[in-house]
Amino acid sequence: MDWQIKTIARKSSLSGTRFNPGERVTCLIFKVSGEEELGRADLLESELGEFEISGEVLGRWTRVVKDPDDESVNKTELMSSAEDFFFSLFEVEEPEAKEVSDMLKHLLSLMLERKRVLRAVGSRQSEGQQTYRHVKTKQELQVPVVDISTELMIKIQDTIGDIML
Amino acid sequence: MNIRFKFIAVILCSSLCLLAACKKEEDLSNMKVPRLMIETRGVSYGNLSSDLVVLPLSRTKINLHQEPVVNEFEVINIDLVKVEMGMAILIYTTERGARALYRASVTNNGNRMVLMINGNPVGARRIDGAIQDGKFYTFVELPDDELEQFVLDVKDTITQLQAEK
Repeated sequence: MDWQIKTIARKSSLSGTRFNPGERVTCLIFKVSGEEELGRADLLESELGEFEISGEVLGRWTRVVKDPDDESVNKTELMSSAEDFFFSLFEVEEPEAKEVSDMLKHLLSLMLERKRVLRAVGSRQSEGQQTYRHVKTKQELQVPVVDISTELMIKIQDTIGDIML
Repeated sequence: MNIRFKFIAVILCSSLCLLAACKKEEDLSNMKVPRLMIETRGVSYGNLSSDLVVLPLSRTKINLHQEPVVNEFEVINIDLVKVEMGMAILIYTTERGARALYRASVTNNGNRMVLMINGNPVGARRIDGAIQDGKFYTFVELPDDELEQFVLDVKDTITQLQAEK
């Protein structure tokens, strides 16, 4: 699988306009249709309806644009973005994007488990499905346990690195 | 008589405390406390808290997360094993440590795991897949003739730590 690498955008994927500090930006992760590529679009909330996505949206999260000189990272915000993205992966179940979606679910669930946002339920699975409980809402989710190669992992980091915990 | 008895009792107690402290100091001086730490991601957007360590012989520099993946209480044994490329160290972890190792090996695939002893790096291995059995092996940058004693010292430390747990 060849993945298109998207760096973390400071500009709108629709207009190319530079984001201003304080603006709310929605990050869409999608599988490019007909290709084995993972795409990312960063859009202002007002642009969401106008942007045509050339594939299946896998998930999304929203971030607030920081001042480029401000290097501090708000951990709560980061956690919240990762949590939002994880849950959004369950909203769309497109057969074409299943493989990629499963990998992202598995990856995000392990990160959120480490941060005690999710709790693994029952015996720890090394294949098949692992049940997780969302600590805050008590919601239970089935997450597929899949292999993620080193090469793919590096590419995933390039796409969603800004929310990796 | 009573005062004399109290005086002797105080002297005895003080001597015992002093002996215990000496023993503790002696124990601590020989301790080799093992921890497994993970390299920070290449694109480390969310991590501003890392430590740079340098391996003793190769002088390889690695940026590490400050929080250990497996701490000294989650290591239950260590062995010296002979593999194709020479002598390696095999670390066995508790159930909790094994889960942490699994999570870290999936979410940090492609990064290096470093064996730290008393806060100093002694060996590193690049993660190339999920570690499911709670066992981690690595080569260490120590002279071959010191390896056996090194393993014995770590074993002793683990025993002491488990006893004090």
